[in-house]
Amino acid sequence: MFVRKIVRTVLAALLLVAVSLPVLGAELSVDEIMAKLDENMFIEKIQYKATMVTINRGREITKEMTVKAIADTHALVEFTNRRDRGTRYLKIDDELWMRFPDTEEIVKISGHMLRQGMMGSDISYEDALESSKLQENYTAKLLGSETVNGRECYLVELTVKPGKEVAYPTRKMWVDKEHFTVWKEEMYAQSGKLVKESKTLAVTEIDGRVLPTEVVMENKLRRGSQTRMTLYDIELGGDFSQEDFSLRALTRP
Amino acid sequence: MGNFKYYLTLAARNLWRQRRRTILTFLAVSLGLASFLVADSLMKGLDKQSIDNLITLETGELRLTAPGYIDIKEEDPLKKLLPKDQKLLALLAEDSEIAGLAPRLSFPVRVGNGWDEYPQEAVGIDPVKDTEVFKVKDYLVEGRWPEAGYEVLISRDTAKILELGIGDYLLMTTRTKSGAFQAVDMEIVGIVNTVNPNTNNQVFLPLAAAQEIVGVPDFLSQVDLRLAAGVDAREKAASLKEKIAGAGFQVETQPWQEMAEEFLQISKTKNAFIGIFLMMILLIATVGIVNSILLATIERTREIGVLKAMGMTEGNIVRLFLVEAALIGLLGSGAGLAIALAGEYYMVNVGLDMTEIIGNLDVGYPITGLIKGAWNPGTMVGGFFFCLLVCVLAGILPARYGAKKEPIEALRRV
Repeated sequence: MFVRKIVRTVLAALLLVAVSLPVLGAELSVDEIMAKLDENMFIEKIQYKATMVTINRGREITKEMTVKAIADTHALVEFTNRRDRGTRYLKIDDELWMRFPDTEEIVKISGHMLRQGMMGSDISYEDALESSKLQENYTAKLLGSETVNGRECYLVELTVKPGKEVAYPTRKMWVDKEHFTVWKEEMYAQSGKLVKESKTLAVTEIDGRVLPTEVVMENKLRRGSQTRMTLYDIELGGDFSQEDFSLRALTRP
Repeated sequence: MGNFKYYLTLAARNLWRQRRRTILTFLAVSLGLASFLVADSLMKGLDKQSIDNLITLETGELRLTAPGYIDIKEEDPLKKLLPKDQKLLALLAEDSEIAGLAPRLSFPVRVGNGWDEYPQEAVGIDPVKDTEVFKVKDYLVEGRWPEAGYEVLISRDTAKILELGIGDYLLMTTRTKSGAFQAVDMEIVGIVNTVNPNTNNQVFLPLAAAQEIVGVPDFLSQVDLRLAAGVDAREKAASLKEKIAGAGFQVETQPWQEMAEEFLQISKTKNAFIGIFLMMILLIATVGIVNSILLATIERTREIGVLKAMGMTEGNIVRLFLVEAALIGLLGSGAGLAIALAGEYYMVNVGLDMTEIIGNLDVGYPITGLIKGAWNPGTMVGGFFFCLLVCVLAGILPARYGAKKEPIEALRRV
């Protein structure tokens, strides 16, 4: 009787374990991972301050800036470091304007400038101001799991969906299994050549999201060139709308 | 006639008698005319050569592009491309007024060695057809022309800046038509050093590779044409556009004059300055001639007195001096023309190597290295008669002044 009770208990326990196993160790599907990643990383409205340090062959250049952006369509960047103080960039969709403080002049910069490094850094305007949902543009494939910075990560490979226009046709991302933030990312050219690699050095929890706040971007096509960007005073949401992103905003004192 | 012979003999004797003065005037006329003609030849040569360089290295004589391409070329050259249609190419190939056609695909790239990178223009070329229109291949200084695959031809300046050579790999980054980042390693197979600074800022690769790199397998930026001798590019641009439209294709045609509008405008302004410079040479030569003849006549006032005392009339004296002036003008101008012919022959066939003087600096002309002259028969004829006229006119006034004097008064002067 006692034995039977034990057997029954063990069996029940085993059954419970068997039933609960897939739940406890549940590996999410790649679509679920991407959905959670987008949920964490896609930001409708954000404003922050940032320090950008570019190191090229041992030469270090530091820039300070304040950024205000709506998704990936509207952005206003103002440089605040002494040398560039007052220089502003306005991005509306694929168009970019720049205002030089000395001449008070507004210059429209051709679209391909969006692809160039921002103020001589390894981070392009596209990289810095991109905030579209990855699932809209890419098909994801789960390659496995790896540990980055002591964090368990999903290794996901993203390939551009046909007909979608993106800067990097292929990307590899190491996504935190718990917080769904990106710890490491590799960006590839159409040819499959590794172009850039970014590593997250620090993250911060803001309004329930865990966002990278210190990122180092390495240009893999230029040896000895990397840019470290540190974000602070981050505010999600904010009291501004698309109307605040106008040419007038560029000249506002 | 006999009278003229008399004046001619007398004039020739006078010139011989005043040998030193004759030589001085002769030198002023001949050297003045020769230097003017050679300078003019050089300027004309420079202009002709820079236009030739522009056409044979950069623009071709006529360019076919997709409608609207010219307006967006600087902004996004891959936005409006021409379909590489065999029917269109065949239509062009059949045209007897077209001597060569070169399909090309151009787009901006950054070329680098892994450390440094520079902006350049990549030009996808048909390795065989391109040489029918352009002469870039003639300026190969090392290696060979790109033929297939990911091979690239760069300029000597680029090779020097990036410290790369034949067999090394050039890292080329650009964006595909859809905006995706593209980075490829291209094997350097050839190095050119053309005389056109704009061409030296281009890298050349096989068309198929270029199309693959930017993701436009069946498209071209342009078809550049070389026209048969004597065909006017402007007229052909209009007629060809109509002909192609008739065959169902929409294209824009641009003669080289339009593509080189900016250059031609600069050239026009430069030519105005050059004109002033040439006029100054001519003016100096004229002053030399006038001065020489004036002095020769004035110094011979005493002689005029003797001639008058011997019974020569005013008219006789003026005529004698005119023949003298014309004779020296004829001799001087003839010699000047001969010197100019020899100088121009050298300039046209051998030329001046400017590399030592200006290096490969962009001096506003798409030209470097050897500068050649151009024949200027019109200026030669004009210059010859101008000098002759100057000599005669310079002789008239003092001769008349001297001839009007009373013999006694004229004789009193030393």
